[in-house]
Parts: sequence; C-alpha cells; structure tokens
Amino acid sequence: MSQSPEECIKRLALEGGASVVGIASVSQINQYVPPEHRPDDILGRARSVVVVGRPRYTAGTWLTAHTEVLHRARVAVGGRDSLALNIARFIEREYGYPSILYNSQMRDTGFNPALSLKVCAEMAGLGTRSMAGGIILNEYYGLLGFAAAITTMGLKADGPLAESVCPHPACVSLWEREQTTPCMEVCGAIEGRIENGRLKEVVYYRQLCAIRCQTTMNTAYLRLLPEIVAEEDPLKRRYLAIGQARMYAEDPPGRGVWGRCIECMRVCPVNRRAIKLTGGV
Amino acid sequence: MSQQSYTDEIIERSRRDSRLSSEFFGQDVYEMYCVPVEVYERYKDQVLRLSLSYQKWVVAEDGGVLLETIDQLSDKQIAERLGLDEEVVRRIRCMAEWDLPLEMWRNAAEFKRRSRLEKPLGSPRRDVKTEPG
Repeated sequence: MSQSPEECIKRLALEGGASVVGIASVSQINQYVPPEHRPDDILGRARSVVVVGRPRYTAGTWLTAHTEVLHRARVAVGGRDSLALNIARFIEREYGYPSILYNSQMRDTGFNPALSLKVCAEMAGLGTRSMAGGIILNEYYGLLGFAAAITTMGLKADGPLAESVCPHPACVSLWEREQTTPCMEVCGAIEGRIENGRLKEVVYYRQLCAIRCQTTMNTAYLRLLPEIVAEEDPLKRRYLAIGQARMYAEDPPGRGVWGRCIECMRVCPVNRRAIKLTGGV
Repeated sequence: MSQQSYTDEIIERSRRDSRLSSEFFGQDVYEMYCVPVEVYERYKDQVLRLSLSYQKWVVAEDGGVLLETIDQLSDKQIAERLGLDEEVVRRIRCMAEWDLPLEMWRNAAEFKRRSRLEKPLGSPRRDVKTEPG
C-alpha cells in the first residue's frame, strides 16, 4: 500500500536525522500570531508548515567541563536547516507545491522573528509552552532546535498536544512547598504561577534573557561601541576597545551552552531526563 | 554642459529605484533610522511593554494546553494601540531593545560563571545515571 504524502515527508525527515517532525496548519497558526508574521506572509497561499526538531546538544555537550570545547560544540543547527530545506525540495519535486525553508535566523527587525517557530512547533504537536520563558519543551527531548518548511500544499495537520509537558511533577511539588520552580529560582527573566498542577501564568523578560545569550557574540561588542566612541581619553578608548570588555563580547555568534545562556534548561527536570535519553546514558 | 559624476549618477539611480519622494533624499542618517529623542523617551517603555520584549501568558478560559497570550503585539498593533505610525514604533523598538547599561552584559557573564561554578555539570564526579529524572 502506498504511503500518504504526510507519511513520506515524515519518513524523509526522520531518516534524515530529525528527532521529531510534525505538521501544523497555517489556518491554526494564524489564530495565534499577528498579521504580517504569519506563514502566508512569507509564502503566499501557504497552507501547511512542516516542523523538524533536533536536540541542540548531545548529552556529552551538557556534561563536559571544558568550556572552550563546549563553546564550539553546538550541533545540529545546520543539520536541522538542511532537513527543512530537503523537505521543501521534496514537496516541490514530488507534489509540485511551492515551499520554502524557514529557520530561527530569519529575523524581521530588531529581536523580532519574521514568524514564531515556537508557535509552529506547538501547533505541530512537538511540545508545549514551558515556564522557562515559553520555551517549547518536548516530553522526550526537552529543549529542541526547530526549523520549518512552509508549503502551499495542504497536509493533514497533527495539531497541538493534548497534555502539557510543563510543569514536571517535581516542579509542581517544589511550587507547592516554596512557590517557585527550578527555572524561576535560577533566572530572574522567568516568573509565573502554578495552580492545580498546571501553568496558570508565565512571564518572560526577553531583554534580560537576550543579554545573557549575547555576552559572547559580536552583537554584544556592538553594544560596547557607543561607550568606546564616547570615551574622550585616547588611551582609555584604546583599552576599552581591546581590554577586558572584549572577553564578554568578542566571540562569534552561535557558541555553546556557556556562551549562550541556557541555565533554565540545565535545571529543568524535563530536560535532565532528555539529556539521559538523548545520549543513552 | 556640466557632466554628472559617476557617483552622482549611481546616487540618482538609487533614488529613482527607491521610489521615495524627494523629501527623503539627502537626509541626516539619524533621521533615516531613528525618531527624535523626546519621542523615544516618551514612548520607549510603553512600546517595550507591549512588544515581545515582555511576554506574558495566562491559562485560557477553556483550561486547555494552549496558553492565552497577553499583548506581545506586532509593531502595527502597538501603533494602533498608541496612536502612532507603525514605522515610528518599529524605530523606537529597535532603539530600545539595545538601550540598556553595559553593566547588564557584565552581570550576565557573572551570572553564568557563578551558576557554572555552583552547579558544574561537567564535574567528573557527576553520574547522570543515578540522578533523579
């Protein structure tokens, strides 16, 4: 018996190395995202979004103490983009529907994405919103990196999950005792409430989180530039440019766990389970 | 007959292709990308609070898995809420997202360094297999 297009697309993704793959309908995504930030704003008449996810790190990456190795051990980013691109090409070649790759680097202006991959992943049933800044947590893989293929082909959507992944029972228990969760305790960018074992309210201060993710990126050095330019003393200006401040700002984007802050996930019970599963440890 | 320089020629071609009206040509760089400082100071906090810089969700009325988004508006939606032009909101947001004291970058690095020292994932003594999951 021949396979359906949905089965063929998912098989391609999984055989290509995706840990998870799901399909979201554009009409459902559009109920949750504002105009001008919708899949059909990117590709006219888009009807479906195929989302692939892979763990950002291997279990060993989370466990290494060697920070320089760790900085450069960010894996699977290019891989998941290639997967989504392959899916887009496959749909065009096999079924004749225009399709396009969308990844997390595709920004609108400032920090705003052109389209929320989190919403797409949620609508494709790959995870649910978590207390940790609204990160989409997957029950088996915890933190995942996502990429998508937006297509004009109408595909049967998976839809959102029926049960929330967050909060983990351990977090519910901690909340009942101390009105906090591990992620909230570790990071001031996260606030929220749990009621009857479920998320009642989630608050995320993105600016605070963004700075923690960007202490070792070129963009952080750009923030230093106004101070360098404003410094009147030539020697101070020189050492401001090449001194200690560079330590926090000089490295290229896309560095690892320490370079990109991920403290909320280091303490997340769902992600801890995922580290074990991912690495088979 | 004056002959146009090569540079003038390509500037003119660039202006023609942009389809902007002549009032936008030869503008000050600040004017091209930013709003007047007094406009920025007046609306900065409101724009940040309504944008994705501050994200809040609450449980939906149906109590389902999908949380309900509070604000997290697009530039166009913020413009409608505040009675501003969309481009003005976009400029304010892009100016404001980076407009924090550099101390915060130092604090961020210290936060990560101390977290690593207190909870060293890479401790040779760590045995993930025996940790509660």
